[in-house]
Amino acid sequence: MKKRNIFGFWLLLAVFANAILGCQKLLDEKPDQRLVIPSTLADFQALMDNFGVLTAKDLVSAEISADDYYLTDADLAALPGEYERRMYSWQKDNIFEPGSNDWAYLYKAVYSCNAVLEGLEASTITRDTRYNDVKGQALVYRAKCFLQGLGLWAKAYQVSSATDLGIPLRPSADFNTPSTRATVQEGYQKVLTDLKAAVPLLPVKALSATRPSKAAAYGLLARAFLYMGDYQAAENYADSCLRNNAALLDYNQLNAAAPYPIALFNPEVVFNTFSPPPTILSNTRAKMVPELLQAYQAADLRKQVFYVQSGSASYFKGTYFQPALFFGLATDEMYLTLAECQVRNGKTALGMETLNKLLLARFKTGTFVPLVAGDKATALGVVLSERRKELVMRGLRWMDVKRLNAEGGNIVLKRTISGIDYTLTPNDKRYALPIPEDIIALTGMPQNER
Amino acid sequence: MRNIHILILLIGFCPLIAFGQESFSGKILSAADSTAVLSNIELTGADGLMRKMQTDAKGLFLLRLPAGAYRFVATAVGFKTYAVTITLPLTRAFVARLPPADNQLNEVTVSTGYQLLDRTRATGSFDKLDKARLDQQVGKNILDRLEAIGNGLTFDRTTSASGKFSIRGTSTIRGPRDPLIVVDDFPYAGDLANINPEDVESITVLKDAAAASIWGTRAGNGVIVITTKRGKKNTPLAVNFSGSIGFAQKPNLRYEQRISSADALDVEQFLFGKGYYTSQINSSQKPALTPFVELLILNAAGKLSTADLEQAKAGFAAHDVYDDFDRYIYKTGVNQQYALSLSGGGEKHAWLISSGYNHNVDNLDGANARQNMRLSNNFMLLRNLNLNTLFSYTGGKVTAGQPGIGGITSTTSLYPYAAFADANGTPLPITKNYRAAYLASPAVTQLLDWSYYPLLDNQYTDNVTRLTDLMASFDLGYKLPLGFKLSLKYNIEEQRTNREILQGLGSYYTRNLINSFAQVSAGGAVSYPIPIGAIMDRNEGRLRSEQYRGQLDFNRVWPSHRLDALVGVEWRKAQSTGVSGRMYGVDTDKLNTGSVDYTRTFPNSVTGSAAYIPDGNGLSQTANNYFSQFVNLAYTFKDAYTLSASARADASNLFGVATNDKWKPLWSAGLGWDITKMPFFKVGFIDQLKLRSTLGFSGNADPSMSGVNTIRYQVNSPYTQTPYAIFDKYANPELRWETVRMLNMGLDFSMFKARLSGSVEYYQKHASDLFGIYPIDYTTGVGTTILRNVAEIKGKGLDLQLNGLILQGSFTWGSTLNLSVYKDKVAKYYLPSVQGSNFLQANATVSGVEGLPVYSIFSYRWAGLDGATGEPMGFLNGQPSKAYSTIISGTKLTDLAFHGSALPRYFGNMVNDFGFKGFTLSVALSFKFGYYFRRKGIDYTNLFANGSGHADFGSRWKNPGDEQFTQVPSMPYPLSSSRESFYRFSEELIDKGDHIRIQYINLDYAVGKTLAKKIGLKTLNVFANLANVGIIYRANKHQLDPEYVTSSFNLPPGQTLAFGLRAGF
Repeated sequence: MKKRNIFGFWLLLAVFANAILGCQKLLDEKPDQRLVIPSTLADFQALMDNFGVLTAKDLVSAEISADDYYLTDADLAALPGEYERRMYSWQKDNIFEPGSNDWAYLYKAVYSCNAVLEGLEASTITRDTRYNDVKGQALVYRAKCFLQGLGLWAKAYQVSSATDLGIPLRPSADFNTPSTRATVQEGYQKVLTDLKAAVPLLPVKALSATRPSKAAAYGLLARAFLYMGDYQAAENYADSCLRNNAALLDYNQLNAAAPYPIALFNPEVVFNTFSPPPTILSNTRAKMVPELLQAYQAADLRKQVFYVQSGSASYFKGTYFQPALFFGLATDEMYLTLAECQVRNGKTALGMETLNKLLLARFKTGTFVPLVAGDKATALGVVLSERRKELVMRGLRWMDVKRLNAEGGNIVLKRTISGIDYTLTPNDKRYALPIPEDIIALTGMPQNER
Repeated sequence: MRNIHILILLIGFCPLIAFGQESFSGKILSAADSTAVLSNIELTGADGLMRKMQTDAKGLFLLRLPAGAYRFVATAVGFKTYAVTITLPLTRAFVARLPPADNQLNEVTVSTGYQLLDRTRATGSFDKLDKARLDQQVGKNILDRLEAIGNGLTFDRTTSASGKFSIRGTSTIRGPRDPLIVVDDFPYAGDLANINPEDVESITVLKDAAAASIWGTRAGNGVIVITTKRGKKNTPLAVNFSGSIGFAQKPNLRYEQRISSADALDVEQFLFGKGYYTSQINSSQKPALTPFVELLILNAAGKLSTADLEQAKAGFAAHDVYDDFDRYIYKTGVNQQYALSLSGGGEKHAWLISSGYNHNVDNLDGANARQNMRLSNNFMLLRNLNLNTLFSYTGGKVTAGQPGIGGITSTTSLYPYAAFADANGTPLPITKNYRAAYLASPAVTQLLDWSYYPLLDNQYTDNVTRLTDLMASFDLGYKLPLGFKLSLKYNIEEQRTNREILQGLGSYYTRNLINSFAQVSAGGAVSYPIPIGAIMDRNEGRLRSEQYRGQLDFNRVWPSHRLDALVGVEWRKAQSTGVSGRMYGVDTDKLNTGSVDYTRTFPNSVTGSAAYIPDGNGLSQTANNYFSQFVNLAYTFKDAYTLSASARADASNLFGVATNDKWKPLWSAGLGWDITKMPFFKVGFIDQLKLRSTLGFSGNADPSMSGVNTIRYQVNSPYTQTPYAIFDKYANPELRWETVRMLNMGLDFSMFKARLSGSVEYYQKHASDLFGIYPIDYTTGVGTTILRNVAEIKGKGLDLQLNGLILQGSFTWGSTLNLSVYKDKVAKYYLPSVQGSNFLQANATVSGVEGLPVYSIFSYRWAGLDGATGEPMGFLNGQPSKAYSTIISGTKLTDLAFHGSALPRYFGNMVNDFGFKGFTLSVALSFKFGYYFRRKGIDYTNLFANGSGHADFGSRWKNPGDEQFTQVPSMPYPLSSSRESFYRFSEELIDKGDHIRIQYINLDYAVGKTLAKKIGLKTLNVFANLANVGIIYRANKHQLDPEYVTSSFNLPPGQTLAFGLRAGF
């Protein structure tokens, strides 16, 4: 009897001991094999390659607000969403759908960058070139986001930028820190700091144009300095970018009749980011404004490559990332930025030379007559006109109008809807779009002046 | 035999043992299954003295008494009192066989999955449903039967369209809400549809925290314990057969009240006039336009006369696509169920073998076949060593049927005048992705045929899922001295599913994909990057679960004390793996497959935009592991007072959580008092009266709990050809476990010789630290909401069960009523926003307003229609207003109309059984009261975009004055999404959900024993059953079934009429 009790006791003990030993292993098994706590360089690179969040979410509001296209009253009325309609007519409020809008996309991407930067910093990964590469990618993507955000929700960079409110510059992935708006100047400084820090970290050539390279950082620096009116720095960085990649597509080689004549990842692409076209900008609705269409010369291939005529209207098909809208960096923008800055910096002839290099690739072979300009003002006019004709639906027009108006460009935007004229006069407060109302309600941050 | 030997021995030695006293010994057995019964014995002699004693656990007793006559009375719980007069000394061994009591509180014992509890000593809340009650329904899935007969549980079709069990309301906001299903002592890992209802002996629902706490963290939503049939020792061979065939009526396809064809055509004409279609007409993507819009285009271009147009329109208007669905697609379903079982047992071995076959063909001609086999054995290996084994096999094959409503679409929806066939029934194509004129162009005609025939398409698709489930379980029990018992249990289950979808070259899907990727060279030659042939998708899933349990039981009875205790450890591993793959260019004859290039893009043959060929390959592996320790104790004093306690600690393989945070200890305690057992209790008509109360805790860990950011790898990025990862969970170290405290107080009673019995239970729930969705500034980048421990819920409820035998005699009438009241409210919710629009959601969601029900229905106040324009009006600053954007952004929570709970507050069911000469007619009603729902109205956004709309369109405001008799807003143009949003969430579309329905009517005839014998049977029952009978009362005036309003194409099932028989040999 006693013996049996002891046997039972040992059996039970064995069961318990076995259980305790097996327990740890059991509890440490991953619930899902695909789950990982990011710790290796491959993990952080995988997060930076999450194209859905980082690459495919450029801020389309910039193009919706710009003036290169128009909608007929019927097409506008047929739009299912009200927010795009309000944005199109430059309403002062309720132009962003609560919760799901450019602000949300922007900061989701920023979160990824911040999480990667913090994760890298806290990790024990060897600080080698691969580490630097991933860190540089995160810095560039974050700078790209902030720069696009400043273009939408901030006034142009000007004297008052030290006090003008820009966008929140979320410094970390901790979602418990409240969001506050930094000044416009702080915003641009952050962009510059990040990009400059990224340059030495990045490779000359990245695996894919969706990953930032040195040229991408240079290109964004050129863009940022151009917006800030620092034309010398912008010239230098545009030049640096082109030194890495000066390739131009010869439009004579393209099949202009194709639905989308320009190939994905073509040689001009420096940094490939994009966004699916919103309903209002779809190539069945958004008709290009005659003013733009008429600006092309007959021998200019862009008119056939960029647009398809259907009935009396022309629609855009010249995207660098078909069928989406390409808002990334390409060498053509760099040629134009370089040319503009050269002209502004007093090197008129050099500027025209830079511009002609680009245009040569855009005109029918043998027809192009190099442009000349006698003085700086004429040259600037020519360069800016070419800038508009080249960088169509690239998310740049809105910021160009904004910065040019800030220095007296006097560009008046106008739309007519159902017989009513809507105008946006230079330096109107509405050039800084309203921050989504739900964000204001949740954070209490000040709204842009209306 | 051995006991009789002992008895004889004892009797033989009696004179030696005591002088002048006769030894009286004996054994008390159950008359039903000859098992020992622990009983109380009273012997009253001629001297008038009453001697009391109790048998031991083996039912044995021994007394010494003077010779003479005695009145012997044995009583035991669950048995009728046994009384006999004996004269000592006896000449034969004394064995008393106690017949079971007629109508106990449901049953004598209830299974918790860890132990069999004697109902009289249980302190927790159990609802036990026995075989007889379950058998009144027919159907493939056993759990579906609970809805009509369970106590305290509802089937929640408000927060989940497919329906979800809800035992005593909500205990969690975000955590898993399904109760734990336990089959034969182990949580069931496989698909519950694998269980053959005929194998089920009983179902016990554990409702309170004490009942459930033994199951730990997974029991927060209650536990449903299913016990299957086993063989019994010492029983002769029994053979049972049952079979039934049922016919399922087509659902009412007009239930959804859709816009008429004539109205839809008018809308298309109106929109065409406004230029709504212009951008689509001009589109290079050639998006499909409906046939009438195509005619309008022709008419506008002067190619079709207006008279012809009107004639065509009249033709379209006369047609309704739901007639076609009804005529060509939906049909009567046929369900067949057969089961055969054999069982028997000897002294040391009991066995049961059963098999079942189910074959269901649904309304859409989808077939579902299932075979079950099951073998259970009980071996008495040694006197103290017992082994239970169970093996089961389930094989299933599901063949998908026709696509039904919602499955056949034109572009995104289906225009109401679509015709599937001509007047002769010859199938017709309908507009699908591209315009008919484009498909007829020479560029396209050189490709594969691009037309879509809804009635023919399905015959080119084979969609078959095969399932195999094997389960084995072993239970080794070793009885130790002093009332100890050691048991080891092991359960292994493996379920494999294999799904194959072969979409032949004739199917639209395959032709469309091949054509989209077709490349036409400059010279006109066509090449196909997707090889011409069928497309086969295969999915293989494997689920393997292993569970181990070591348990030490202690059960001991002293004259006035009794202790039942158990302690154990348990661990469980469940691993699922999946493989999916796709093959292109399949030639099913020669088993050839083609290859495709996944690494590059191809321009779409219509739009020219570049795309990768879809790749269906993938692997998955998940693991769900638990480790638990538990202890359970019940002490009974004088059979009247019971004190119970249990504690359990669980840990699971949560990811990104430190080991210490993976553990959650839970406990419960209870008290029971059987008043009828008290000496002072002398109320004759009361058979039993028992009070009980428990207090316990359950908990929930949300899998979102993570101390660090976790990421999930995806497939390769098409741009870098490297794997990319997305955030799976954001570091949320502040999250704590949800805790639910439940207090239960119950009264069980039985009176008038059990003609009236039942229970009343009152419970209180206090759930704290509940995870809730917390709107967050999305500048943080983690989305618009995060999960936080934001809420506290208080709930209280009453479950009443009444069983009455109202009429006895040749005509019997028995009735069971289950009535539940459940009210909950949010006690605390940290709300950062009081913006009204945050509380208005299409589906019922947790509203989180303190003091109001957890699921509350709010709406915008309704100020009627504008008499001049027919536009809906709300209130802004107390004044009727049409400033919809401002109403939406400016209405605070306090300005919204609050209607009530979205979940029923009063619910239950009632089953009446009428018996007459072998006939039993059972009618089960169920009811839900005290709740509200949001009905669908006309949504102009949907109507314009895809031609689908509500029939309300027909009664919309058209002219001034119409507002007198309609509340349906006029048709706007252009659309205003804020106007649509205002109307969708307005007071006007709120209705009361109250309703009563008949769940089933069952007529059973038990063929008389003599007649049965004549045809060689022991028993024979034949029955007819009508299920889903329908609603008999509803509060809403729109002919809506409030349980089928959540999503589109969720139609109330049609009635099912079944006939069957049960025979025992």
